[in-house]
Amino acid sequence: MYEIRRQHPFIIVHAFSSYILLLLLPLLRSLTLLQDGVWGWAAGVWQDVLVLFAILLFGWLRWRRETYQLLDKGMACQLGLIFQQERYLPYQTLTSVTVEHPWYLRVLRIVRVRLETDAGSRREPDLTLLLRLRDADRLTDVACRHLQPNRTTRSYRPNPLSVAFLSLVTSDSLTGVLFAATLISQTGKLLGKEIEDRVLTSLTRLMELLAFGLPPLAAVIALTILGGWLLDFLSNLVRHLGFQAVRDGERLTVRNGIFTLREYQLSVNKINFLQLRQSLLTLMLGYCAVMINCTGYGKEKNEMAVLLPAANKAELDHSLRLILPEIRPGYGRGWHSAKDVLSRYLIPPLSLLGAMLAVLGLCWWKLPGLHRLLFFLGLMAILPAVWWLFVKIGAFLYNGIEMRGRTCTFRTVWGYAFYTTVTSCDKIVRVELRWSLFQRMRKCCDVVIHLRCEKGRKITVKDIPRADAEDFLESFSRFGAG
Amino acid sequence: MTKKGLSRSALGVWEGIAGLVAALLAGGVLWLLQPRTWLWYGSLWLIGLVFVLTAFLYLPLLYISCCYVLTEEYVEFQCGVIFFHRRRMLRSSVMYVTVMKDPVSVLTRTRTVVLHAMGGRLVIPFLPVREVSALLRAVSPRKPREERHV
Repeated sequence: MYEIRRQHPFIIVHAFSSYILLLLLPLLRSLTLLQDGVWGWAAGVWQDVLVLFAILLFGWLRWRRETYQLLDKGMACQLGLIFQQERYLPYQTLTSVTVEHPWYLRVLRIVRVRLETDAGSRREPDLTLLLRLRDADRLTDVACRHLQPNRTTRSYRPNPLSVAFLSLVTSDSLTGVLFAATLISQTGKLLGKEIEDRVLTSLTRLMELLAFGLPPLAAVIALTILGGWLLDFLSNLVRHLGFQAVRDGERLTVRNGIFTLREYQLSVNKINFLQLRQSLLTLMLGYCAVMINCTGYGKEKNEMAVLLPAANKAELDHSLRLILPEIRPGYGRGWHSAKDVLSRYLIPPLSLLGAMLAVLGLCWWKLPGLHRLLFFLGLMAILPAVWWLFVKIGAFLYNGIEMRGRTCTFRTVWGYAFYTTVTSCDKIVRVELRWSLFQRMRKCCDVVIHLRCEKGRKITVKDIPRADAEDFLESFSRFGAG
Repeated sequence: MTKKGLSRSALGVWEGIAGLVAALLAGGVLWLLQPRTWLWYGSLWLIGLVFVLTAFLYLPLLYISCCYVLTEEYVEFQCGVIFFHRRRMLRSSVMYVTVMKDPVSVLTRTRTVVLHAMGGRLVIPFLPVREVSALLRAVSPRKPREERHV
C-alpha cells in the first residue's frame, strides 16, 4: 500500500482563519465586559460558540479527508469534503515547486507548498498544501528528482542595493494606495469601526502637518501618491531582500524574502521567456531588471518573477552565463523601425501636450481665483506628458527584432517601460503581422508575437518595415521547423 | 478506438433538474401573478410546454448525442442537439487529471473527469465509476496501479 500523508493539522484553523478571527475577536472583547458573570456571558454568546465549533469540526473533517501520496512518477491527492476531487500530478509536468515560510508559521515549522504546471487555473496554483518542514523537503526532493543535477552548482546573490534599485523601479503608487486601503478596511472589520475611525483621523492629521502650505486638494493628491509609492517600495524591498538564485543542472532555485521566506524550484526547460525591464532613466544609465516567465514563479499577488534584480550590461552577461546560459539576449542590429515613421511616435504625445496646454490656458483665463491650484495640477499633468514624449523618442530608437540561431529577441515599449523579451523559437505559439491604413501607406506593420505562457502573453513590436517583417517571418519559420 | 456514452443516471439528473426548475418557475408564477388571468394561464402553459419539450425531447436527444472517444492520439467529447460540439484534446498534451465527486455523483455512482492541458481543459461528466479508472490509466499512463510509493 502507498503511504498516505496529510497536511499539518494547523490547516484546520488556517483554512478558516479569517472567519474564526471574525468570530473570536468579538467573543474575546465581550469577555472584558463580564458584568453578569461567566454564565451570563455564555448565555449571550452561545450561538457564536456553536458556529465556531461547527467551523472547527468542518476543518477537522476536511483535514482527515484531504490526503496525498508520493508515487514513483507523480503525486496523487484527494481534496475537498463535500465536493471531492482526486488529482494526479505527474512530476514531469511540474514547472515549479514553491516552498513559502510565512513569518507567523515559522515558529511552528510549518510551510506552504505550491505545485504548478502549465495547465490549470491562471490565478490559483494547481495544488497548495500546508506541510511540516520535513514533509515539504521530502516532497520537493521527490518532485524535482527528474531534473538532472550537475556536479557543480552556480550561485548568484545580488547586493542589497540592487534589490533596492529593483524596488525603486517596480514600485507604483496605485498598488501602495490599494494596500493601504485594504489594510485600513480590514482593520475596521477585525478591530471595529472605532479603531478604523481613529486610524483615518490620525492619517488626516498627518496630512495636515505635511501639507507645507499647499492647497488642501493638491496636498491630498500629492501625499496619497507619495505615500502609496513609499508603501509599495517598502513592501517590495522586504519581499526581495535576501535574494539568491542557484543553478544546479536542470533545476533553478530562487530564494528571497526576510520575514516571509520563499523558495522556488524551477525546471529550466519550462522557462518560457526572459524579460529585461527598464525605464527611460535606467535605459540611459544602462541598468535593467531581469524577469523570467515560468508558470508558478511570481504568480501570487504582489510577487515578481525576478531573476536578476539589477544589472548593467557586463553584469547581465556574466550572471546569465552563470545561471541561465540557455537564454541570452542579442545585441546586434536586427530589424528596427524605419526612419520615416518617426512622426507615428511623436504625434500622440505632442497632441496630448497641445490639448493639455489648451485646457490649462482656458482654465487659467476663466478661473482667476484658482491660479495656485491650477499651476500645481497643470505641472502634475504636463510633466508625465513631457516624459512620455521622451519615452516615445526612445521607443523609436529602441523597438526592434533580432534572431540569433533559434533565440529571438524582441524590443518593445509599453507605457513608460522598455522591455527586451528573449525566447526560443519553440516557445512562440504564433506570429501575426498587422497593419492599419496609415501603416500601409508607410509600408510598415506591427509584429505581434504570441508566447507560450499560462496567461497567453503577447507582445507587439511596432512599426517594423513590411519587408523586414516578412524577412523575420521567413527566418522564424526556417528555425522553428528546424 | 473506444467510443462510449455517458451513464444513464446523467439523464435522470438532468430530468430532475429540469423538473425542479419548472416547479420553481411554476411556484413563482402562482405566488406572484394574479390567479386566473390570461398572464397566469399563459405563463403556466408556457412553463409546462417548455418542460415537456425539454424533458421528453431535448434531454433524451442530448443524452444520446453525448459520448467520449478515446484513441491512441486523442480524447474527444461530443455533445449537443441544436449546437453540436466536438472537443478534442491530444493525449500528449494532458498535463494532469482531476476526478470530481459530489453528493449527487455518489448516489448515481458516476464521476466527472477533467483533463487539464496548457490553455484549456476537457470536462467529461457523468462517467460510470467502473470506466473512470480505465480512462485514467489510458490518459495518464504514468500512473499505473502498481506504482511504488516513495
